[in-house]
Amino acid sequence: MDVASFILRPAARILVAGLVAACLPILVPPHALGVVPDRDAFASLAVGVSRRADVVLTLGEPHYRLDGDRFLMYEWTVAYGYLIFGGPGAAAALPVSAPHYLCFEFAPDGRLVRKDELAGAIYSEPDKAIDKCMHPSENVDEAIDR
Amino acid sequence: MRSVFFASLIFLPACVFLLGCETARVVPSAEIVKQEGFIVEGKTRKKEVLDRFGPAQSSFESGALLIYHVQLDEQGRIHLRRDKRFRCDAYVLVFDSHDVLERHSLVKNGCR
Repeated sequence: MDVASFILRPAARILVAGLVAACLPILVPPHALGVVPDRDAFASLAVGVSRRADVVLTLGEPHYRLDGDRFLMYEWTVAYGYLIFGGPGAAAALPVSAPHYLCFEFAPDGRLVRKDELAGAIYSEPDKAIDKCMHPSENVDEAIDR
Repeated sequence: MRSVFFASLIFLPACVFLLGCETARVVPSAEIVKQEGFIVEGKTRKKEVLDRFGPAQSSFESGALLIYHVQLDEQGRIHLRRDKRFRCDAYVLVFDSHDVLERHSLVKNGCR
């Protein structure tokens, strides 16, 4: 594992940030922040059977609509730990988190042809997740460089 | 004062852990006690929806799929969302090729 990929790991980011900021990092079990798509609904959507309408009817409005709605993406945030800042009489916790995405691709007739979950700090920039969703077989960095 | 800091080690993350997340989920029709009365699958026409609700917040598939931002109140009633400070639910309406309502759902926390 190279240094860059180590730093991109959420747990490592918490420790590094804690050391740099002179605050106390706390690791917690990964858990979602904000609004999370219904995972049971995601599992129930069947490639080749479900349609674009089924996805929207069960998951609601997508965060990203790409290439004429050929791709739809949903985003939420997962926290891996907290940085605790404190002093006399006051304290605050800052979550260390990374975005997660659900990616759906549809055929011209509206049928679902692919569904993926994209997770990890490598997608901290939405552009990388969008490129990975639209070009699943390509290396993310190569897609960004195009 | 030091105890405040140490208490926060557990208390603050625990608060976020317990309160920080909601799931966008389809609301069972049984939880909706009073829906807009004219919304009937197989009967309601798109023009009627547009006349009553106005333009949709999102439109897909050349207008065959509309999303309205609404709020489901504690009594199970649906209201068009007027105050953007509060939670937003997605009212999803799917029309067939004759612009007749085919399916619909209410997704709690379903707006983006």
